[in-house]
Amino acid sequence: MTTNRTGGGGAAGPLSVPVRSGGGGHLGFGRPPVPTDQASVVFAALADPTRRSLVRALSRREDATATELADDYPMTRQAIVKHLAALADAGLVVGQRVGREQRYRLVPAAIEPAVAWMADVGGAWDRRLAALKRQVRRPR
Amino acid sequence: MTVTAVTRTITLEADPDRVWDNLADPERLGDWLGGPTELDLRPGGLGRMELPDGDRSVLVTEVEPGAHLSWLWWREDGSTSAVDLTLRRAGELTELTIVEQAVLAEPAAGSASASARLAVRA
Repeated sequence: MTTNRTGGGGAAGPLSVPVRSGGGGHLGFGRPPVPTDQASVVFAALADPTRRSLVRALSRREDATATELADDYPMTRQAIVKHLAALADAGLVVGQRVGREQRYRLVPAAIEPAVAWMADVGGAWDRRLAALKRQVRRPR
Repeated sequence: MTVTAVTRTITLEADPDRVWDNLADPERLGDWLGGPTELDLRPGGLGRMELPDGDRSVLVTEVEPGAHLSWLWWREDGSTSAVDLTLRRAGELTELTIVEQAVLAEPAAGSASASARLAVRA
């Protein structure tokens, strides 16, 4: 299930504008980098509705196998395994073999960078917009 | 709703043209963003902002005078997001909506590495 790139498509559009290349690190002029920070990785994993639903499902139980989880979804067990692998890549889920079964459980702490991003970005805009509000009132 | 966006809407005591003056002039833009700002304000234009919460490189993506401004900005660590500012006239006032959305890392769904890593953990 590599096709569901929710969010990536819209955001990638503007990157097609021609820009000068070059300039060393990320802060040099040129194309924006592909983000690798933990918040972006978590967001990417959670951009897919099935994966968000799996996170919810796992939050309601200790752990579960892909077969158990697949019962609630109109897709194959194999598709569920792939989604779980994507969540595991982002650190949101860990799989552990118990007997013949792979059991998956949620790692709630892994979502913290994403929550911190929301809080930081929201707080920064609150401060900026308060400053803009004052600024537009001032005579030029 | 996506899980990745921060949205704020405020009403400003000025008409959209006047608000736009505070967006389109890099010096005034920097005044309220909170730090020195250089920006070539046209689609494809590049810039740099030295803000209290960190320096950014900026790529302007959309400019619609008096109505809409969008850019991509990114930090040294590579974290990138898209910012949209939309102005809407509300009588003599202006309603400004900003949306900042994280540009996502490459989704790893179903990748060989993802499966391999799970196998290793097992």
